[in-house]
Amino acid sequence: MGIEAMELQSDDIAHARPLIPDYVLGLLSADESRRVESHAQQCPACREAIRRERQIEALVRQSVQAAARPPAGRLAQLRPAPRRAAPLRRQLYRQLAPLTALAVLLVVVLLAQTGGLGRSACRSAFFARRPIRPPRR
Amino acid sequence: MNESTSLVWGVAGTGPPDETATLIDRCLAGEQAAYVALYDQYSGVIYRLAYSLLQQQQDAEEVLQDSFEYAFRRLDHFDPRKSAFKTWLYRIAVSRCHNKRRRKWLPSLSLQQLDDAEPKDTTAPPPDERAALNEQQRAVWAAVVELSPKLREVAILRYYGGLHYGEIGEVLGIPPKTAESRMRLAHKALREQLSELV
Repeated sequence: MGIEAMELQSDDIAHARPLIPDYVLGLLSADESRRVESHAQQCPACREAIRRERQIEALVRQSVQAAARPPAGRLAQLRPAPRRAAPLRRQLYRQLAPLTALAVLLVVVLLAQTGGLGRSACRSAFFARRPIRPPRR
Repeated sequence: MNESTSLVWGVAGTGPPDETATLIDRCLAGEQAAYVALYDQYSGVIYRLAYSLLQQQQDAEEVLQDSFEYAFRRLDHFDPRKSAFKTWLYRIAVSRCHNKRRRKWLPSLSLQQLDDAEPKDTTAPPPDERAALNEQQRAVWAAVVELSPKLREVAILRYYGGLHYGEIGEVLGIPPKTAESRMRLAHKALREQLSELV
């Protein structure tokens, strides 16, 4: 390998090294990841650096599996009682809820447009307030 | 499906999405065996997540039970178009872990300390399972426990839960970019702690 080639490789390593943690953590763009991968194919030092970084993840995973393991049979003891099925009528109400809401909305809109609700309310208020006069003789 | 067989499906020990979707449909149809199967599929993962964040068996067990009781009660509100079931369940469990830590430390710590401090069960004897850890696993677990709660929860969700940063953000209620930067810090801290092992 010539001096120039060695310098080039050394530059590449210097460039790729800071990217390796982000590469392993999946934080690089697809383009950057490809560059790191193609460099690592040629560079044993960077391949080793990638292996070490990946090992951290594997070690943590194994450690959590082992250290946070529940005591044997304990999970089954902690299982909550299965929920009872909702009664058929409640299930039906739940399924029909959007249709019911739509129907109510439709009735309100129709009443508002025809003025039916307002007119009857006004009329009853008018009659309620009107004093009762004695019949004329 | 028991815990050991469910581990076949990946890091987080959860089943394939189709199987989970079928189980959820069966639960909603009122099939009690489906609730049992759904619990068996996810309980190991949720317990380990809670234990990793709280380091207390009793707290982890309470979080596990509360999480599943809530999830079963609200199963009809789960929307698979919005998130994976695993992510939804993690969010329920992590929220309960936060509540537990907050309740435990609220009387004796200021708000600023709350983010950085957490209870450590130093007096309780280690469970049998932890006694069975080899030296390497012990060292790694100690490094994980040394992380601040914020960094640890991101590291556990990523390394153990296998979540993407968007999903981690969803579980923790933080932007994905914040999840990424916390993961960088967690990974750096772990690398320094474990320099002799890797």
